[in-house]
Amino acid sequence: VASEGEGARSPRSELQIEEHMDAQRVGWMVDRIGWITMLVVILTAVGGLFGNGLFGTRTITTRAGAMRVTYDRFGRYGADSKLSFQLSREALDRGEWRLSIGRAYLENMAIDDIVPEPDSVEAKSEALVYIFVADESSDLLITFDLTGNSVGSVHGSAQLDNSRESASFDQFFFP
Amino acid sequence: MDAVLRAAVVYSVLLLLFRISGKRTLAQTTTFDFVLLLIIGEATQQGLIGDDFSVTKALLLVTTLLGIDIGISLLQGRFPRLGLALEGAPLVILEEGEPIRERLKKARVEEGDILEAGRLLHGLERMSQMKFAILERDGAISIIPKDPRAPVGK
Repeated sequence: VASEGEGARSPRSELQIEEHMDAQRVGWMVDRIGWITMLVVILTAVGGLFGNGLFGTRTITTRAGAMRVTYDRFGRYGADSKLSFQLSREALDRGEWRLSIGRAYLENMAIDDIVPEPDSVEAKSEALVYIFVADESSDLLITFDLTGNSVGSVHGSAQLDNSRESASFDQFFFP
Repeated sequence: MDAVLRAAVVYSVLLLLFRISGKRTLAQTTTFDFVLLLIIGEATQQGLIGDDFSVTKALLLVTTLLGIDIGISLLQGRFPRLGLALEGAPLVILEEGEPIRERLKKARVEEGDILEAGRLLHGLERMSQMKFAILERDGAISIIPKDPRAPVGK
């Protein structure tokens, strides 16, 4: 009868085997930590930490309420991301809205679609100005369908030129 | 360069995930496990390839994946503790006909799995006919029967 390790009555010493019980115990512990981590990852993914989640979008409103920006806090490289602007009719100036978006932001994005399409676009050194002509006095919701083109933090800025109200936002794109 | 990075990241994350899923998860491939493996393959494929469908990239990926695999096996030969961490060690889960319940629970093995292995490998009918059952590193259960010349149940 062997008298090795935990089983004093154990005939296990006949077996040429290295069980490494310490490593087994560490392994079991690591497994359980890993399962909890997996659960946390799954839950945060549902919540939107990795883009497209339940709580993944943020909305900011400029001071006087002329513009409301809705954006995805987290995105993924190569995946769709929506950016929308609600422009109030009070900010309408001579029948048009002039929405400028910082070039630094647009360089990190591919613009797939803009709904509704702007009537014209002006290129300035720091920004692209999207001009929407209004035919009636109501608010306008503009949606940009974007594809993330970079990895990491992205800082965006938008301004309504007429009212000089601006908004800036931060996004993070996972690889 | 991104092919190498993608392959390395996917390789290490999959290695980690399969390690913490435990040995038993995909040890005996049921039909559903097989489907699961296929889906995992599909899911990682896009991340590996991205939108570059060139032969060069595919070959780079395969080269990198196999290269990492060889590299790790070489390292395991040199550092036994790495092999222990990555592949684990065999575990005795039954001795002299008695299952070691605490270990079964920790390793997520059921008594039915031991009986099944006994039937499949040696045509054994009962646990009392087994001398040892060992959960091997790959998740398979191996059985060492008691001496057949000895009377059953002794």
